[in-house]
Amino acid sequence: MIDQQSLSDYFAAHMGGDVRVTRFKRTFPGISRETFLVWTDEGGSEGSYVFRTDALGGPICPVPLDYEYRIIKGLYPTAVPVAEPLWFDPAPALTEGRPVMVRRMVDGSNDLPGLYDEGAQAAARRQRVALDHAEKLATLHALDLEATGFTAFVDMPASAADCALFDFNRWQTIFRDVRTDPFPLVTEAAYWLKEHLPTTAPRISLCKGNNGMGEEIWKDDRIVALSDWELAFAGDPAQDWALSQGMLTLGDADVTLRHYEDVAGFAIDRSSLDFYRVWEVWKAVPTLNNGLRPFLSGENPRVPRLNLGFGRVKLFEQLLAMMIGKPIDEAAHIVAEWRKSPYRPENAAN
Amino acid sequence: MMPTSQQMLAAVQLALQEHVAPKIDDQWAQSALRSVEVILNHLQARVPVEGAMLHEDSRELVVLLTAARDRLSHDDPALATFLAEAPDLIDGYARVDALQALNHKGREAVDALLHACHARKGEAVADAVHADLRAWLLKHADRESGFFFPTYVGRPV
Repeated sequence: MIDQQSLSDYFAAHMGGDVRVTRFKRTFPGISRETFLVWTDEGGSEGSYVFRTDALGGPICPVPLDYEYRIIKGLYPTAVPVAEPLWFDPAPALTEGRPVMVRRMVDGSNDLPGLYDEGAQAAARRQRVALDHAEKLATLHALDLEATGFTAFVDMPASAADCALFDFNRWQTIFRDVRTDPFPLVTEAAYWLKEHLPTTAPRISLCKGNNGMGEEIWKDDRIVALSDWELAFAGDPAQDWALSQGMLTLGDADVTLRHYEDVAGFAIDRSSLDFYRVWEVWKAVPTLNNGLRPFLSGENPRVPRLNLGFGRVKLFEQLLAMMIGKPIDEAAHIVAEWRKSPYRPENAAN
Repeated sequence: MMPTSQQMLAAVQLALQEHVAPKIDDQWAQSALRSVEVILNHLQARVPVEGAMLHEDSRELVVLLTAARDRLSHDDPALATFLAEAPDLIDGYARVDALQALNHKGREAVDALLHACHARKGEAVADAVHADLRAWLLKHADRESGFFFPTYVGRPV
């Protein structure tokens, strides 16, 4: 457990002796990685920071923390809004060797109270929020990856047409490396999906991975920081829309996507979007199942690891069983229906 | 008469629902309680039927995998281990954890066979074996369905 004095000593060591932690709070839920909001006294003025470290036994998502830090560091000088990255520490004593990254706290919240209220005014507000998110994604997806230095450390597909195959192959390797069960149905689903890989990506973009509701920092209904970059990758921008947790159902999906296309300057292939909606269900299996490994080894024997890494994974396997062999648009419809669960972030207020 | 595992798990759940949940307003504690509730639901669905399910599932796997091995001349260590161990376990009275371990080996063999069938796609015998494997996969998913669906639908943490 991290205590205030140790945290204070840690910040003072990094920032100078005049810095003292006055309070800190662990954010909820933070199961994959632990995130703490930290407030400091710095010679009379208050500082605020976000301290992030791997959970015991490692993160759920099979991606190292320094990758996420490098992504944020690369984005900070661009027009894409992210929190200022301050430092990455590979193995501090404070966390008993778990890596740490520290960012400056951004004034805002990941919650938009009243967003799901009834009435025309709330509906118009939801559409505005969706359009703002679309603009931020367009800015991200239009980045020149060579000029911004991302090609130096982000795995790159050989061509835009290769994006889906590249992501497919990358995740087959991860699946083989991390799975805790043979999952033959998931293997069979991969063969089925391989027959439907899109080849129509408009360009190779830096994609955020999970994005949308619950993932970003908002102020006055605008995104002030795109947060949580652990699943960032180079690929088809349509894939990010498949991961845009609730943003396409927030307003009119066509209006939102057309606005995105106007800002980005390229189009999203709707059939590719269908494919990626199904593909993301498949990808959730290795991503979450990786989190079960420290549970099985005893390094992190906590119930969220069990429920995400086992129960949720088996639920996604059931979902794949419902879809396997069907036309992709039909499978995407099954995913869309499933995502209407009242517990999705976008439906949390219902 | 002894209370069943199902009844005992349900009693634990009721105690938490009636006496613990109303007194908790901390986010982490609420989340922990939600997770425990889901696990108790899962166990109530799984514990009474898992042994019989694994027994039936593995018995079918023996038939399926023996036929697949013979038809494809498939030589795989996981398959050989499964077929060597399965008869004794299935014929006698087996513990559930032993059946779980056996079923795991059987599913490993299924996985290897799926790759073999896809590598030989277009060959009539491989396509026929593949169709049988896929039918078993869906049957297996259906057998397990009640353990996970709708138990794990909902807020993940």
